[in-house]
Amino acid sequence: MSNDVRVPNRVRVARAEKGYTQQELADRVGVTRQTIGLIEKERYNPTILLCLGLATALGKSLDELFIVDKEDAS
Amino acid sequence: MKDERTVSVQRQAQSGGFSVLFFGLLAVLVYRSIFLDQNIKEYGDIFIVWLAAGIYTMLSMVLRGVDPAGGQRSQWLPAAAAALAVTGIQIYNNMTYGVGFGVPIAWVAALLTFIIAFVFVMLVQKLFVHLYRRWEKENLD
Repeated sequence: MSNDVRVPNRVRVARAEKGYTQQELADRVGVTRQTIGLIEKERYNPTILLCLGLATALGKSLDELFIVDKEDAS
Repeated sequence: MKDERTVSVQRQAQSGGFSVLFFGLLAVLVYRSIFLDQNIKEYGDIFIVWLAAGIYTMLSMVLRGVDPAGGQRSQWLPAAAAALAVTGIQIYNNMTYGVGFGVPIAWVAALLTFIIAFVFVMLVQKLFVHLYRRWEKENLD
């Protein structure tokens, strides 16, 4: 998968469902608020470790949070 | 707070800075050697730093599983290109000091320079490939 490929995600929706602010979610997973903002805008692809942290913090599975286009993934 | 993105951005910026330094130093070496006509003793310190940076970068990549051949099968082409460049610099220096190809020893010297540079670059490449294969054996087999 190319580094330029942006992975669509539902982080913003899941965060809103939990009632967290970007800063609160950032504190829970140990990153900056800016990183959460960029992930939500799909301008930054998080590592698998951060993906797992986000999934745990938001109570979702990985495939509920991140949507991978099969063509992009190949 | 330092998170994975800031670390990644920092590394990208440092990598860009390294490229500026690396190619900047190369330009300084070429300028000093060819245009200022300086002796190796005058710019040898810069040359050693430049060479060390290049070798460190290559070694770090090879020891972390980046194939130095980069998918290319033939190793002689980059070696020949590097040897040609070194020989070209030597011929330029000879011309500057008035040693043309009318002097037979100049042909021998150019040929020797080419062969030595070619063999040296091939040996360095072989060493990197050997280290990479060792990494592959330890980590992938």
